[in-house]
Order: sequence, then C-alpha cells, then structure tokens
Amino acid sequence: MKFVGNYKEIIDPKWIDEILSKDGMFRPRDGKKPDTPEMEKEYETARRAGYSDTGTYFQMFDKTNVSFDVRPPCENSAHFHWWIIKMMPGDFMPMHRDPHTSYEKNSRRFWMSLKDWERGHIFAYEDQIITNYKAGDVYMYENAQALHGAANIGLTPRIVLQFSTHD
Amino acid sequence: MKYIGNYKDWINSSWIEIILSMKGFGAPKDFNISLDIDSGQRSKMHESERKVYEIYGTDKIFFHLLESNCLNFQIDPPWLSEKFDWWITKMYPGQFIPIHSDGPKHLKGKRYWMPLQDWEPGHIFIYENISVSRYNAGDLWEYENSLAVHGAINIGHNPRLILQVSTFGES
Repeated sequence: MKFVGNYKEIIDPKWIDEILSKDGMFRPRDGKKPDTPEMEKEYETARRAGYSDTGTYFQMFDKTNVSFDVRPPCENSAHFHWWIIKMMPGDFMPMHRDPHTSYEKNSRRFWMSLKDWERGHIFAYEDQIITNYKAGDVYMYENAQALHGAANIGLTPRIVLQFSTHD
Repeated sequence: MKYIGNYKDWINSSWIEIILSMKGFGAPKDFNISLDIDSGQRSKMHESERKVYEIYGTDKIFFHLLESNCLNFQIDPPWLSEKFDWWITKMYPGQFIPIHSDGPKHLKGKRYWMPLQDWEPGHIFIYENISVSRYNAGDLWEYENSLAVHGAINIGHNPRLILQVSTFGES
C-alpha cells in the first residue's frame, strides 16, 4: 500500500452521522449475484472456505442509499466510482481480489479511512496490516489486483471510503 | 512481540489432525457466561473482558478453544522449565477473538504464542498496533507485556490453529 496523502478536508462530518444512523446494504446477502467469471471465481473461493453468500458480513453504502456524493479526493480519471463500508464490531470481509479491477482499463484502487484508526480496526493488504492511520489518509493499492480483506474486532464501528478509477 | 525462535521440529503432526477433528469449546457460548449483576460471574471479570462481552454478547461462537483437559495429548514446551498452562485456539474462516487484555492473573507470568501452521493470507493476529505475518509453523513469540491488548481473526480460507502458553511467575 502506498500512502498518497491526507484529504481530511473533504470529509463532511455529516457523512459519518448519516452512515452511523442507518443500515446500509447487507453484504453479501443483498449484493448483486456474480455476473462475471472473475466475480464467480471469488465467490466460489469464499464458498469453499465456508463463507455464506446469504450471510451479512458488513454493510455497504453508495450514492443510491445516502444523501451525499463523494468527489475524487486525489485522482482525475475518466471514471471514478466510490462506495463506503461500515463494519460493526465482529463484521469482516474475507480476503479477495476485486473482480472489476481485472477488466477495467488502467484500474487503480484507493482506500481512505473516514475515522482515525482504533485498535481492532483491520485492513489487510497481502501480508500488510495498516494501523495508526488518521481520518482522511488515502492509500493506493500498488497492485489493483492484490489480495485484501478487512475486519472489525474492535469496540467501535469502522467506516472506510473505497474508490476506484479507470480510463 | 519478541521473537524467541522456531520449534517446528517439536510439533507433532498428529496434533493438527486431532485439533481439526475435535470441536473443543465454542467460545464464549459454551461457557454459559452471564452478565447479570447478580450472577457472580460479572464481578469476577476484569474490565476489558466485561466490555467485550457487553458489545459482542455471550451467546455466539466466535472461536474454538481446546484446552489440555479435552485433548488426548499433552505438551512439554522445551523453552520452559517452570509451571505453565496451555490451550489451543482454532478459528475457522470468519471466526475471531475481539481485542482484549488477558487480565491481572497473567501480570506476573509470561505469555507465548506459537502458530501450528505456516502463515496464510487472512490469518491475522494483532498485538497492540502491530501484526505478525509471514510466520512459519513453530515460530515462538513472547508478549513483551503480558497485559497487552491483542486479538485475532481468520478472514482467510483455511482453519487457523495457534498454541498459547502462559506461565504464572511461580516456580
């Protein structure tokens, strides 16, 4: 993971309030079903390990279920899309590779925490765990196809903005 | 976490098969923990433990605990010459131990952590603000602070097996 910079100023505190005050889309239960070979491969790997397609492991927000939009904090590309992950204590996302980054042209993946790091808030990128970060810190995946996952074994909710760009 | 050395040759391969074949205690559910004020259990918990149970609940299985009294083998750690206690934590994919501190009974003793398998992506151990990865089976680590906040999760694709050993500062 490459540290890009801190963009705390783009975070509106109302985003946090809104995300904490309501449920997001329960994933993977309410997510779209695999519609590409890359996505099916990820799902199959997870199923074989014992994860459930119909369980709820985390909540997701995007512009369809929040009242705000997010502008690119640091990248100007032809295409930008974002989503926010909320993990309550005990939530997690199994290790996986993002299917979309395998077919988007010059796909670049970024990760930005909306809160300061707390113990038990885990982001795993290959063999690295990112800790001690500040709200607004942006990291870029050195390899958009890298294996990654996340978890919250802490005592407070964990909220992270994810965004991706491509040509 | 202080790295002590590798004791892979000491691990008996039959242990893994036994551990994988046995359920052990589903923690915390199988311990029937009550947080009721008048249960008596609550007052014996230290603050970190109580806080975790209040947030996570006590009625689910987050991981499997296999203690010496439920396994048909015993261990004799070659790096220890004092009294010790030991247990094994087994985490299937998606299982975890919330961050916690082991509490005052471990204050005078030493805590050791040894994976029984090589590291795999998603096998995560957090000690304060550091994590240990790319380890090999048999690598032995000692907590520099027995009361350090720590936790673990398996977001990988295979079970995660860890031997835990604790001494109590007594000869």
